[in-house]
Amino acid sequence: MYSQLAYAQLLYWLSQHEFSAKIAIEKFLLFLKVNNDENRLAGIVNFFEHNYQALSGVAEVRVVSASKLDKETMTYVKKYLHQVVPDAKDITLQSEIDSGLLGGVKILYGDTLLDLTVKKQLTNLKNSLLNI
Amino acid sequence: MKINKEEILAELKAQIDVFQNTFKQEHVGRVAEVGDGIVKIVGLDAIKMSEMVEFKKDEQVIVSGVALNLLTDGVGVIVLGDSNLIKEGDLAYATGKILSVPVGNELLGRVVNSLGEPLDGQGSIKAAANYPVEKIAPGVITRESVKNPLQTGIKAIDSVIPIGRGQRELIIGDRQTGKTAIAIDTIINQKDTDVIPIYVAIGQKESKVAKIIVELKKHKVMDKTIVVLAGASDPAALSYIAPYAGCAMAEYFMDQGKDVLIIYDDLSKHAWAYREISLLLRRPPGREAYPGDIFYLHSRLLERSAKLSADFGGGSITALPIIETQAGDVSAYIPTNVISITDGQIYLEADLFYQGVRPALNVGLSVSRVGSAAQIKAMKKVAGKLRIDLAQFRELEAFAQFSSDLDAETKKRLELGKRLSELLKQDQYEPMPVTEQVAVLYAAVNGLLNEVPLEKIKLWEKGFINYLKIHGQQILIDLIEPNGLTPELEAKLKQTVIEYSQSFKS
Repeated sequence: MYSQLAYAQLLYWLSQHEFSAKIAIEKFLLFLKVNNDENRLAGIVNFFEHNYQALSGVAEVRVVSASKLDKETMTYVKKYLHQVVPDAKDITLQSEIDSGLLGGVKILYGDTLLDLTVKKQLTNLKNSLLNI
Repeated sequence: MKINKEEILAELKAQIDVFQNTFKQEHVGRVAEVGDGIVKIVGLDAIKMSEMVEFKKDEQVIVSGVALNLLTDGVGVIVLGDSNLIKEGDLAYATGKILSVPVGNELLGRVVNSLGEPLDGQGSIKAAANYPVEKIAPGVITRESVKNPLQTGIKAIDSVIPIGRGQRELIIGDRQTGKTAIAIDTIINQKDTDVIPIYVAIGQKESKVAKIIVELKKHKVMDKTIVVLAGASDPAALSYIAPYAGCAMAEYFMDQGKDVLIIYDDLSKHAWAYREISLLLRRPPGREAYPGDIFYLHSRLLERSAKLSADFGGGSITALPIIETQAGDVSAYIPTNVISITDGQIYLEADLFYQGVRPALNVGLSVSRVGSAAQIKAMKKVAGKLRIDLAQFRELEAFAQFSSDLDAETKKRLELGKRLSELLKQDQYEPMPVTEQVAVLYAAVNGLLNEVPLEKIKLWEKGFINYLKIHGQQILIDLIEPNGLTPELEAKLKQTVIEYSQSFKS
């Protein structure tokens, strides 16, 4: 049984390598049929739609900060992320503001979370004091 | 001693100065679905089976879970706490740690939940070590056969269905037939032994467990006992984990070369909890809606009970799993599974219970496959005859119901059987040392009680033990010796029985 991700990757590959979208879709549907997975089509299409950017090699990264980040900081974050996600063709940043973080940034890409906020540091400090 | 504000501030500053903050990448997934006690997470592609997952609010862990279903499109997690605290879209943090519980001497005398967290209000447990909840059972090379007895203090069990250290002996019967009573008596009997008892309550009423704890305290055995409690109101996930957690705590002591007695009360409710989880996780249901791996659920747990060889420390875990049957049906799915896994069963019957035979043990259907090798020599000698006498009595008793005219020999056998059955009755919370058991059973199987009226057997037993403690102390000491019941010792014991029984002749 193939995962939604595997099917979505196949659909993306076909869309990039076939002459027309029609042929790509036909081949994809045939593959679904062979694997008896026709009833999963709706879910796969939904997944494909939501993850199109990731499939095309664009890493979507959420950057949450306590206040609005200036351009310089955003460029720095992007530069840093290119080192962390070397496979990404491009990186798009989605910035969010959460004043509860007090300071610093929280970076979320794929399954990975990098918490560089003041709040996290204070929590770590609190835990270390409690464990003495 | 008075500490002033400045000192506190100075100490805090010093601690903050040495604090080194570290950043690490965390692996997170997102909650896609929340069910009753289960959560489906999207993401966490690198998560391992049985890995712990944490759900946080304001950087504090509010509830944790365990990955149990690794699917192509997500991860099925059982929640070890209140699943209502989790919302769709929340982040789930992979910990990289396999579910483990604290183990060690610090747990002795404590009541803990399935995660090893204290429930008795006696403060936190600072255990030195953690053991994984799921562990592969000891291999064949590390084991040796059962050879040391584990005395339950119950005459009917220690004589006819003996249990050895490292054995798995099932206690099976309908509700209210005294299954837990046997287990608790066995724990109480370990008061002066080197055996560490662990009682795992799975889906039990908390009032019942509270009563048990009171009894254990009353008999001064709670100090060396661990109670693992997954109550009836706790989520199914905690009931599912409880026996494995208890077993992990037992394994620590076994690895230290100690002997452990673990009671799983009961595995029927454990199977129900697993069925609930499996159905919620949408695993395909099989017979009686149990999932396909229900046999493995119990076999992998009970296989962890073992007697290790001297090269591996010589420790042991003796398991007494309990199964509750419905209307005496031992051929139901879960009872047959557990019967086939264990090394014998103690079968309790409701009919016997209501007839006043307590423990309501059906000696005919109960067996112990390996325990006889572990019996002390004196008991082995007495029990061999006892088993035959009881078997003959059962046959003759059925036959005698249809015939009023019986020959003298049959009548004699029936009388002996009645006396033996009477002698095997025992009150709750009154376990008896094995040497005293040998002495009273010796008297009965050798016909020395034939003259004692049936209704006075209990009185005789009580009086005889007191008499023996005063006039035959050496006999009690000698009975435990490896030589067993030597002809000289037998003569002495016989003489003492005859002397005492004079006053009971009708």
